[in-house]
Amino acid sequence: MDLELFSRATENLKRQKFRSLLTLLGIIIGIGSVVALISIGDGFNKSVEKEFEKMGSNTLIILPGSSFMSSVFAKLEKKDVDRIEAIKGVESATPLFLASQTVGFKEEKKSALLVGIDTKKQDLLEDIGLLSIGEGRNLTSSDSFSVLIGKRFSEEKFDSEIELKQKLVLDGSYLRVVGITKSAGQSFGAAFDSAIVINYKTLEEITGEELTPFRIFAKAVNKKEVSEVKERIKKELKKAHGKEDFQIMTASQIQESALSILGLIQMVLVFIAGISLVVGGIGIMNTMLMAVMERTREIGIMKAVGATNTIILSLFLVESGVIGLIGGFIGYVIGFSIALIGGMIASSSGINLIIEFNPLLLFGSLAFAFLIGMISGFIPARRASLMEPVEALREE
Amino acid sequence: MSEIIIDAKNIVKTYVMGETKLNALDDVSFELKKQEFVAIMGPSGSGKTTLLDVLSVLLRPTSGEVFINKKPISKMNDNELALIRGRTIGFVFQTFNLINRLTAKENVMMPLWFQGIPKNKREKISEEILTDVGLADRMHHRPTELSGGQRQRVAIARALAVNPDIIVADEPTGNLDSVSGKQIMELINELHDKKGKTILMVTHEREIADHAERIIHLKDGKIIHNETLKKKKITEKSVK
Repeated sequence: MDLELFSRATENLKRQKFRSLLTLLGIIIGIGSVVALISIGDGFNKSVEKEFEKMGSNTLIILPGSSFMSSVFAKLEKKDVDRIEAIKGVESATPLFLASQTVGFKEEKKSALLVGIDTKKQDLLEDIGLLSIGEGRNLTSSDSFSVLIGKRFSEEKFDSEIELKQKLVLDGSYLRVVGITKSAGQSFGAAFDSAIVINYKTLEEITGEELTPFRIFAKAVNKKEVSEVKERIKKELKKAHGKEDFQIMTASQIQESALSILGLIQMVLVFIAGISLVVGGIGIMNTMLMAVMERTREIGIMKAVGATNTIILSLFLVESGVIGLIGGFIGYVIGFSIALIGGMIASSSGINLIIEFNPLLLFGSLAFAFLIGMISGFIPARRASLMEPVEALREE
Repeated sequence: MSEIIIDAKNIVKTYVMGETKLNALDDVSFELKKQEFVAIMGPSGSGKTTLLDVLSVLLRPTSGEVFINKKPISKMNDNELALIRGRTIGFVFQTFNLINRLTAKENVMMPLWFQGIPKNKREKISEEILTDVGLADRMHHRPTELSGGQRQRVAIARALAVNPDIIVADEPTGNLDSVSGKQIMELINELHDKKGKTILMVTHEREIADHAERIIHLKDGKIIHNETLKKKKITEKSVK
């Protein structure tokens, strides 16, 4: 008999196609936007996780400044790299330098970002997923005026695409492109993607400036020891600098904070989208109140021929639940499609967004939509069930 | 003497309309025996429909008690009353009260659904009864596609679906032409004579009331006359 309640409910809905569609709209929009937001949010989470997986959980990052503001004034020293490498439990460490310079290519001159690396240590950069070669070769310790360029840099920086073996001009010196990095398109490799990667000593030579590390990357020997290694580095650097004017982050720490920020944004958006669900629920309630009024005589007849209040209640409850369910299903399909399209657009513009089918989200949104329908239908259904059979019957 | 199936004692039904109180039923007592055919007559406003509603447990009285098969209804909740109606009483109304969006067969199947009878069995019973009332070729028509007489036959078929002991008819011929009215009364007589159903009928036409064995005359909410007609007797054989 329970299954028949469903078929009765769908029959009733079919009779009122246009009104049912209007009623569904609220739930469709609500569930659709929630599904789209959750799918896209999960997609971002997955790409962040993937990024950190590449980096490895035994990576430590040392930044200047104890807070974001003071990082402008505080500086790391080149010697810090040697100090860190000497610490027990550290496998290796390497600095990263940043400089902005005017670079010429053919007839053009443009301001470009230069990333200085220690060419003896680039295996570490590759290891933690910061640098990977797409075309050509990597730099070696003997390279000084040979450089790598980012994929995006090669394609977009200048009017014509920069190819391997072509030359860039920096402060009168020629830099030969020996390799192009793989398109990273993600948070960490992104710096390399639109920059020139150069031996930091050459950079210092050309610019005539003493550079200080903008980041130092270190790798712990043992994953389990990361937090102990972090403490040792902290102690050592504090001793050398005389104060704590730096910050040490572990990959998992950054991952956590990135994920929690993403989660918060997602929650706020889903909450806003959820408001449309409330509106959708009110729409269902309105439709069901009208249905109860229209079917007053029918309710009287059913009660006269033996329908209990419970049957009338469940009849209307299931009907409103089915409105929710249908709306939820259509909403899910639309919402997931939007997420898929969003993922494609993001990928084509270089952001890695992994949209995956999540059965839990499907069943969750269906169940939730059904529930919203039932809750919204409760007051009308109760009103129907409590009708006096005689009054309902004699109603014309 | 056959047993009493509906026993109403000192029924009062009061409607409050603003400041004034109206006693639609004023201390009415009434017994309906099994397999009896009773008509309730009276001018409009005499309370006959209210009495029918109370006796068929569609309506609770303001005071007094109604016993259905010796069970007092004041102790039952609405769901229990619905189940009693569904099982023991079949309704036939003046305005037919069919559900217009359902076919004749679906209308007849409905009370069986409330009794939890499986679909295939419901279909079989409905088809049989509709054939019995002469609507074998109208089963899949909707009420709006049927004549008044045919609609009332569907209503009678629906009343019979759960095989109730009592058929309650409220002006069953009130909306019909004389020919269809006559046919419907023949059908009701047949239910009483051949199937042994207890019939309780409200009418304001003497001619229709004459089909009954007993006529209750109602005026201003009171029984003013209990008239027994001699023409019919139930034979033991007629009991199904």
